[in-house]
Amino acid sequence: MLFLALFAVACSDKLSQPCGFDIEVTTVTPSRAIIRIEPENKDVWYTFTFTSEDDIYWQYKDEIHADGSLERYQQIYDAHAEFEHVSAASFTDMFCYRGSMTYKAKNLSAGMRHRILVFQVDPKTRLRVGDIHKIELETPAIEASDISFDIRFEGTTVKITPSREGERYFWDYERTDLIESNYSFSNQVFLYNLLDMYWEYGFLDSMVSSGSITWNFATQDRDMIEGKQYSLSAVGTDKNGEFTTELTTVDFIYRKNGIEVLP
Amino acid sequence: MKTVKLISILSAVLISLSGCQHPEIQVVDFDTFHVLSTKSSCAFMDSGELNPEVRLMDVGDGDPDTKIAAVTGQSIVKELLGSIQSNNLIHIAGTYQGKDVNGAPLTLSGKLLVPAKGPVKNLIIVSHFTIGANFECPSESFPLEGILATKGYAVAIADYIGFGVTSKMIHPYMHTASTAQSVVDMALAVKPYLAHIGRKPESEEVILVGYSQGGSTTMAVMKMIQDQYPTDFPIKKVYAGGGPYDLNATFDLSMEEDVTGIPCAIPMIVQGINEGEGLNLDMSDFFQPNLLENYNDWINSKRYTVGQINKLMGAKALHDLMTPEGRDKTSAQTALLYRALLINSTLNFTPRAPIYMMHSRQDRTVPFINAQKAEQFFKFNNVHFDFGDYGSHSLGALRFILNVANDLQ
Repeated sequence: MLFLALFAVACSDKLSQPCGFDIEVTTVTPSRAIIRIEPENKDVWYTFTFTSEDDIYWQYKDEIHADGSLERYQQIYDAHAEFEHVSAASFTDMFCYRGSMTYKAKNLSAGMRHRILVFQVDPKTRLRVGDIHKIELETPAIEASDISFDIRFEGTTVKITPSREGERYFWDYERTDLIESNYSFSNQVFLYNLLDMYWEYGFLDSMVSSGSITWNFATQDRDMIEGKQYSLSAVGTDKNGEFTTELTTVDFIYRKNGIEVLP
Repeated sequence: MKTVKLISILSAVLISLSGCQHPEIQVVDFDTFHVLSTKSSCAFMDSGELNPEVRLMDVGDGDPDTKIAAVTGQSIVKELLGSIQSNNLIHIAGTYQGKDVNGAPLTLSGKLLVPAKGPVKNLIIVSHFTIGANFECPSESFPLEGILATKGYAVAIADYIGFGVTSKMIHPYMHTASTAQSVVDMALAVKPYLAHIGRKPESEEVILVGYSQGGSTTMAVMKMIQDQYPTDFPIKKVYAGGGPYDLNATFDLSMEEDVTGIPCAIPMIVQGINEGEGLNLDMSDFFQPNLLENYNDWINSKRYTVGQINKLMGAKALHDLMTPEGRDKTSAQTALLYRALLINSTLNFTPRAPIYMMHSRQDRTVPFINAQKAEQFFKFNNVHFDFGDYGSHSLGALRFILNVANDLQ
């Protein structure tokens, strides 16, 4: 029994001994960064902060930012433990990771510097262990475009005409209630996630358009529901699936005898 | 109000309490949940072994090389024995009003399990794992998740569309909206039914449980309840295990590595999402000739278990099942499928109740990347991530049920 207790203490002590980290930024696009984090000891707990230069925390010293984050996490955790009458998550569940991970940061500001601080956390004291490992990256600027989109409906057909031929853009539509439910009411979030998925899985180029397109909902989409509201959006996009324009969105009600465009 | 005839389920249970006998079928006519049959049976035999009627997961994924906790399936469930309230359970199979994939009314079926004795603490709403044969569906079998009822809970397990009374229909596999709706509709039906038979839970709070397909569906159920039924079903806790929460990551791994996970899952996903989303895909664009010729029998007949379907398929790699066109992401059809997989993934909401999420690192059926993606998405929420060396996907299911049972009061 004494041996087991000593063994447990020894294991637990290893978690509070600093270990090194291998951190690599593998991909950067205007709004994304993919970071690989690999601790030397796969059993230690760690966390990371992500800051941009337009963020107030950018000015903080690394130690103040890192330790201040842990302090905030502690306050959040204590508050949650007080008000949640059935708790599931431990402190490390809520705020830390273990083992190697590939983290994909999305929705970053383009043309800006960003900073990642990775640091080990003692699961018992919930304090930082060892050094802070810092990585800085810069997201490239987006080459904005001034193309616009003319979206017209006739019967059950839509025609999308960009103001300039040959320039990449992306268009899609979905039921408005689904966008509200799954994408926080935002066509922007919906299209961003779609483009991000196509980019991640390597077939973005086959999903973008250039030039006019015509689409007949009645014959080309058998899942259209009579009387349901849909949102159709078009947006300029670059080779990484980033937005180069604002969205142009039209809401409509699908009707078999002719689409009703909403104001 | 319809007239209730010959209810007395409890008196039938009293008759059958000596040993695990099956009482006479009782007919109960009630507004929300129409009983087809009742029976009682024990979860555990006198020897302490699990009742062989209990349907265990069968995906044929035994791998002697996986690092596992040093327990067998039976040993895992024996750990439950010391903490149960009632070994005798009443199985009530019935029908209720649900919806089809387009939201139109559809009669569905499922099973409600309640302990033969003692109070009912909460309603557990279960989303079941992948099955192939109709005889495996909850209304026609003793579902593994049903043993949670031994701890004093009412357990409601819906048959998804395509099983039970709708076994002639295509199952919209991994179509989260319709599968989650079938689960919620059953819960809506059994809630007043439980009150009617005098087994109303002591607490209004519900517990959600699901593993594998059920793990992902459980998260969809959680979201649906939060969005649409928060006062009907205040959620106490959610238990999700081994789930394909990120369908794109799951499917793309198969595509990139030319692996199948469980072979039948690939055509089931393609067909199921096609059915649920109305994509109008042509299966000949996706399935190799042997699969194309036989999938209606192997999968849609509902005659074969998942393990049997996998043997019939005999596939070692994805290209054994899917055509080059189907594996070409630049094809319009495959791109449509990927889009639909994104919409049917369940990493798209903020949970407002505690979650226990478990996944085995050795899981080759539902790849561990799903757990990693879920952890990143749900970090900073009240989620306990339990990722460990729990062996294969099916062994993980047993471990999951044990962990859930041990966590329940």
